[in-house]
Amino acid sequence: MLNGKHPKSTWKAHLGDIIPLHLAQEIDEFETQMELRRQGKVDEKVFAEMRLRRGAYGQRYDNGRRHDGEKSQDIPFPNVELTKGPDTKWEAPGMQRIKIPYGGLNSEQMDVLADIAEEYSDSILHITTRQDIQLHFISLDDTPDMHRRLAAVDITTREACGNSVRNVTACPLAGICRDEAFDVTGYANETAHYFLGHRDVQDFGRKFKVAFSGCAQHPCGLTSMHDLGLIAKTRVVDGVEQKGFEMYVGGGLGAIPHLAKLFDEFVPAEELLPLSQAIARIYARYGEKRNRNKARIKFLVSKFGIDEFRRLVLEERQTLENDPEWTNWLENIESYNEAALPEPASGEPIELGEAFEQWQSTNVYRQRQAGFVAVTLALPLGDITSQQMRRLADITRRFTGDAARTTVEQNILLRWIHEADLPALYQALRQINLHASGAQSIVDVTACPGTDTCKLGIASSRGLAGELRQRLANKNLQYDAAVRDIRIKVSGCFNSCSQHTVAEIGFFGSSRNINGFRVPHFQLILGGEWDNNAAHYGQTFGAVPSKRVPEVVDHLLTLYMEERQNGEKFREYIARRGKKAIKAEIDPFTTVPSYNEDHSYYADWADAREFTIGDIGVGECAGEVVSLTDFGIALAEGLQFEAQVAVEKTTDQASVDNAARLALEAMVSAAQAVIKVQNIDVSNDPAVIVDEFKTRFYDTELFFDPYAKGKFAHYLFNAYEHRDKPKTLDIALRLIEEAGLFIEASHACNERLQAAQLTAPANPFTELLSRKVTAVSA
Amino acid sequence: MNIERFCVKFFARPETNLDDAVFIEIFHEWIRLKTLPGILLDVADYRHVPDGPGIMLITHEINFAMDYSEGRFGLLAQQKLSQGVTQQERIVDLVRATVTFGALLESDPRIAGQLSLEGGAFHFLSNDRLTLPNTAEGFAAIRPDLEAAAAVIYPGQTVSVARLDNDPRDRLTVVVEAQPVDIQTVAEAIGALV
Repeated sequence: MLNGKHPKSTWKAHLGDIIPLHLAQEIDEFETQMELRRQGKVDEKVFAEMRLRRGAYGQRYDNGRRHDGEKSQDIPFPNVELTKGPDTKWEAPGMQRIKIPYGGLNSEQMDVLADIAEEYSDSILHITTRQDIQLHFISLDDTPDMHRRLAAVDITTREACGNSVRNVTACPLAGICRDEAFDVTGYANETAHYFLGHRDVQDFGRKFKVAFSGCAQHPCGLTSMHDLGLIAKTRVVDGVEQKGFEMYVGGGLGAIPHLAKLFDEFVPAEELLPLSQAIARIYARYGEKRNRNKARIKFLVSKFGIDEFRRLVLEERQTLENDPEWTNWLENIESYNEAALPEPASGEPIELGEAFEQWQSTNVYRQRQAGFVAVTLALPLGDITSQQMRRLADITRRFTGDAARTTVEQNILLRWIHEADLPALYQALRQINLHASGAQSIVDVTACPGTDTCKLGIASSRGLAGELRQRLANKNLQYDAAVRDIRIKVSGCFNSCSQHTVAEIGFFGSSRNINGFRVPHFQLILGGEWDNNAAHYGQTFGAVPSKRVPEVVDHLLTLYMEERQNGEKFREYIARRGKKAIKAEIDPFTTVPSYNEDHSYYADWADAREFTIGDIGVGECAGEVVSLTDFGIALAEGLQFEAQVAVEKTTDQASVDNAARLALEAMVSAAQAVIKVQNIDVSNDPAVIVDEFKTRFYDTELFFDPYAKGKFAHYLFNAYEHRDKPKTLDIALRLIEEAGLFIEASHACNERLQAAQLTAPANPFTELLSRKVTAVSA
Repeated sequence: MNIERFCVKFFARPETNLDDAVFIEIFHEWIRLKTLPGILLDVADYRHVPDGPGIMLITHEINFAMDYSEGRFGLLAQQKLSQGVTQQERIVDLVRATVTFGALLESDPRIAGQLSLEGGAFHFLSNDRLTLPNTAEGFAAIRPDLEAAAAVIYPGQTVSVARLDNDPRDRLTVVVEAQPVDIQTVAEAIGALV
């Protein structure tokens, strides 16, 4: 937040002293890669994965084409040849995903999020079903400054997308829940930070999602549908209570949902990170890399079977060298305990009407700590304006101990509120229009972005969700005990980003051709279980025309209210009636009038264009499968570029020394990248890297150019040997040139290895590798 | 002053009364027919968000929103890329684009007199807290440019240029106010492409 004059005219300069050094360096490196990509010096596929790992995602129409309802038109961006990924225009608006580990936010972070949404986006912050925050219609050119402003308040966007460990989620009630075994907040946050940028999570074939839950019976953590799910448990050993986790692995939704398998009934807290690390290494080593549709860990667990998978992981665990970071945070785990304000913030009691009572009935949770409550803000479709977020920051300061959480139901939870403050809090929320009732009820419909902004969207999930929300709220169903706990979730395609598979009533977008016209449809999913950490997945009941979905929902709710027996839940009712009977109830709603009769069926919700699926692009959910070596060489190119910049305008001794240092670093970095083809665990120590490079790639002649032979490797060896000698400008310039050639040779070596299809890291068969690659080279 | 990212907002008059859904149809049509200058990209629907940006037309250069922020409905234009050499030119350019948009909208038969935008006043919002913060110094820095721009937008009129007293964390907001006038008249006065 700025309060006065700013002599420093860039965010980089302005925040230079505030941003942690390692975060600042990462952002600078990304900015350098952007510049190199603009110059065509970084491959677009490699750059796509780089930006994805900074959370900078593509958005619908970024291939430069858009269907206008009559035909597909090119979008005439000024620099249409410049791309930020395969078939992805640089100047097309994109999405920024911001990781919020366990959903934890403080008021200072809220202020900054509000500012950047206003300045770089469309003033809307969108809470996702994995506790992230997303901004849309972002220019890629703005992202480095945006990342700096976030880093200044301890938020990183690193690995928010791409094939790595995504946001680590946790039950938003952690620490205040009446049923939890213990508070999982610290465990989730430490797991998130341990794996952030960790070398063992850089070579996955797909993303990897981790979730923590404080109990088994509630849905807050959704551990059954995660790649790695952890449920807090305690046990008593020799009279001492021990904390740990029931560990699940291999869950996931998407087109082919899998319920997670029990890996271990009790993993002691001390073993949480090492065992998770071993799982990550097994996934990286054996997981599918080429077919992204089979690359999630759920397929690996299915392929091996849980028993064999467990055996491999436990075997791997034994090989790991002890890492103090596995446990050194445990002694401070209590520091995650949140506190309330010492006294209520409001004065005299306020008399409020029925609306307040209704809001209390749906949005207020009584904490296990007597006298305190948590309040859920029901955000429509997960959206909040920047103005609301800024005022909410004030409310958070005024009524809480400065802590809030995002939720997987796309809401925000305020915690540790004195019960006496509820009327004043309600009034404050009413002033900023965040007082809607019905949080976590049937009217609190969840939706992914769908065709609004997602490249994969088939139908308008947000359009449908907005319509359903309005209609259900008009009927006050959020107060009807019979149906209020039913969850409705809508995805724009089968990929299940709204988590429709675990909702009682779920939908995902599809399309049907009727008499030569495309008609938007939604597949109906019934019978999922939200409770018990999403323990049951629903089944499809066929496609319904999009515009008839509200009628279907009405009919199903009416049937349920009229026919349910002995308080049976909606899922139980559907199961009792049976698939055939329910399908028969839905069939009358599947007909569509002819186009001439009513063409409104041939357009989607909140979209005037005639429906088409012509805008579906290639999604970036899966990221680009880019090897560690490709990545490392690209980083080396960035260092060599910085070396050039260092002596571009000034040639004083300090600049010369800096350029020479960066040139050597570039070579060492490229060598390290090449080594990763054989040894993923390569050290960061330059001496070890140079030595290992010599052994593995020079002595074996694997790095040898067919004509220049070992010449380029000698550039590295000489530069390293003479690293401490004084440098002149000529020497620095020569080193820069040599670094460029060494990097080219590294690319060539990597390509030879890829051509031999011998690119798996940690491949123990070095000799075999050597023989095959030499044969390919020859 | 040299600021690329800023906004202007023209407010609706009290007699405005219409269903926002009509904007979706109109904006999609404008994209298809390339009705406005610039690169027209997409329509965003935020009707579900209280006090939000309503229906938006996203272009490469400007985001136009039928906006409800601050509890007041109006046409908000958010400049993302500027062409003008001077700040005065950039402000006049954005106002010209905005009144063009407003006048076209008012004249659309589907709106049929249900929308009336006041053209004689607008808010200028800095959308770059680093370059132009919400401070007295910030206001002093932009004031000459706004006064010069106002002389072009409202020729021959006495124009008030005053800083809005808002939360210091909010964007610097300046109220530029001349005589009440239809937005169509302003568009014609500054050579808008209606």
